[in-house]
Amino acid sequence: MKKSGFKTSLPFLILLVAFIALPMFLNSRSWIDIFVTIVFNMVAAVSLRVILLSGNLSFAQGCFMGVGAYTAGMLAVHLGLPMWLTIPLGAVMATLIGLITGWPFARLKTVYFSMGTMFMGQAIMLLISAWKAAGGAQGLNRIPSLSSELKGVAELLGVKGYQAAYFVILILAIVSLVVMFRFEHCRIGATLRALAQSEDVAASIGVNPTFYRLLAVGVACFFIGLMGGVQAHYMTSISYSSYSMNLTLWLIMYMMIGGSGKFIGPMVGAILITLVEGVSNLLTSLSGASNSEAFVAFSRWIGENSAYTPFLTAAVLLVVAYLLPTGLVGIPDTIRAAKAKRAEMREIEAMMKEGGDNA
Amino acid sequence: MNILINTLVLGIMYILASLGFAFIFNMLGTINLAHGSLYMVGAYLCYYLCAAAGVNNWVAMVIAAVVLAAVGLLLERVMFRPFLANFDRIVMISVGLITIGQTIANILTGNKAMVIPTYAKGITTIAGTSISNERLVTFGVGLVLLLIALYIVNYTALGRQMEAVSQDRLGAALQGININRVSAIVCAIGVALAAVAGCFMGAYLGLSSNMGDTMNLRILMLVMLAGAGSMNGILITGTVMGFLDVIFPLYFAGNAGSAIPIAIIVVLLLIKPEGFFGHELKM
Repeated sequence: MKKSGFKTSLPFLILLVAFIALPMFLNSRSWIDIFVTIVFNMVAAVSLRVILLSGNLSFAQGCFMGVGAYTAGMLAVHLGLPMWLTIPLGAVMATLIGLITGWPFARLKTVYFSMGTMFMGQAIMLLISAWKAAGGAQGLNRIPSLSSELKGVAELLGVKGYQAAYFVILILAIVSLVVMFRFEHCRIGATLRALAQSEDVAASIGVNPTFYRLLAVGVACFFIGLMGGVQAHYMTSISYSSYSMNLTLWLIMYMMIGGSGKFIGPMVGAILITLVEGVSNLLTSLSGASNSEAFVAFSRWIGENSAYTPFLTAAVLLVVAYLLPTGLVGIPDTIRAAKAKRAEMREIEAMMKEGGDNA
Repeated sequence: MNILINTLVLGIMYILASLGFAFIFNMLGTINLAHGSLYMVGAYLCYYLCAAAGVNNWVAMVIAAVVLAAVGLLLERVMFRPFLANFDRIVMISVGLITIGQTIANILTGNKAMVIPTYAKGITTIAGTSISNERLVTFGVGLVLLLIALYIVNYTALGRQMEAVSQDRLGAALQGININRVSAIVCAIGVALAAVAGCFMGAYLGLSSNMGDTMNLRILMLVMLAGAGSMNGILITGTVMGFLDVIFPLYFAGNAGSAIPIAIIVVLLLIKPEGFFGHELKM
């Protein structure tokens, strides 16, 4: 299993360079929005996978992003706390609620865990939407903006406010991803995998299943809550409907499209699907810089029919579901396996031929 | 009295919509998240047949049911049969289906308010309470369909085969039961029942692109609450679900009315995760 360090870290390095370098050139507001969405989705999908390590698929992860966002937003709006306090508090709140609700759920298995967490997430978000202080069904507005907070720093560096906000978000995301990567690759990660394979065997050698399951839930909820808090300050207005069942389902889809077997899988899935979902915005941004008339016309046509773009996403989903059992990151492995099989067949054929000649 | 009637009507619609889901859950041991979307597609189909093509209500409902039964057959062939042991991929395909259904519904609905024309006009007075004929018809037809479904499950060869398959697939196959045929028939019936429920609910509550999601949540809750392998349990939990959905919006405004029933269900599921009437599903 031991691979050379360079080969494993190469994809991460490419992503890192891309996420730092591309926003330098593509620095319009709509491009930065796309990058920010990708970063949020990436961390959220990876955090979902942290819980999956212990063998359970959580359907409540999107709701914890909502808890983080609403906590940060409400603290800032009602109590006027500064941003560097509200965002961590959002993460802490998400962790707390995750641990409190996760404790009774820790003993549920497979589909029962998934369904239970799904209902719980839905109930929490509906309760938030029924809460007057949280803005009710209209959502929470006029949250202090991260971009304007960073205006001073941005002017010093000679960039725009939202660009500075993007880099702050990126740094937080990188820290989150590194911590979750370490979490997976240390002893705890191995223990979680053991729990996923057989809880009874793991418990028999002295592993406390509830403790480790809750640890995974806590770590995952902390980082998704962090992203939620930042999101509230970046978007300045949040609505409960954007953290509903649909968000969770899509996070699960990012993970499955990318491939849940590897750490980089959810990241790849999130990047791809966010780009496909935002294809009309993307093309509009691109056509601003393009000289080709046909391309401008094409992107306008896409923009006019943007109601149909979810079909593209659905098509990607179905193609991956039918053709790529291990997701996008599994493609090299699938090809390698197919090649090995073909080589084996050739060998057998050659042997049979040899045998035939001898006889 | 009105509470009772509304409970019964909603309950029976929930039960009808969730029967197909429960069949699939029991027999194939997997969950079909797209079931609510199929229910929505049935309702939209019925609306367009009635409103755009001018077909009679009842004929439209039958056509919608038949079309959706064909969809059920197709789904069994391309979705459940190939990926039976693969929960992830079934979830992926059903999310794909949900996306497609919702997008179509969004494009068709826009901001319009669409309601399927009523099935029966007028009001009947029973014991001093006036009830719209619509509710009575909905309840009556729902009850008849439910009784037919229960008869099939409990007293026919198909029902016994279903029971055998849900207990032990391999054993059933060894006994000479054509598992794939049974699953296909059951999927077709289940999806068609969901479509019928959609047609009635489309007249009762109107059409919207999130009606599938709302129903999906209800279906999941009452089937999980009843537990795998229990048909009678679904009747009880369906009625309870209908009652909760009628009673809470009376006392709590807005989303709290729908949040509290879900919270209650979560607590109940924590007490007994495998459901109250069935057995635990091995996965």
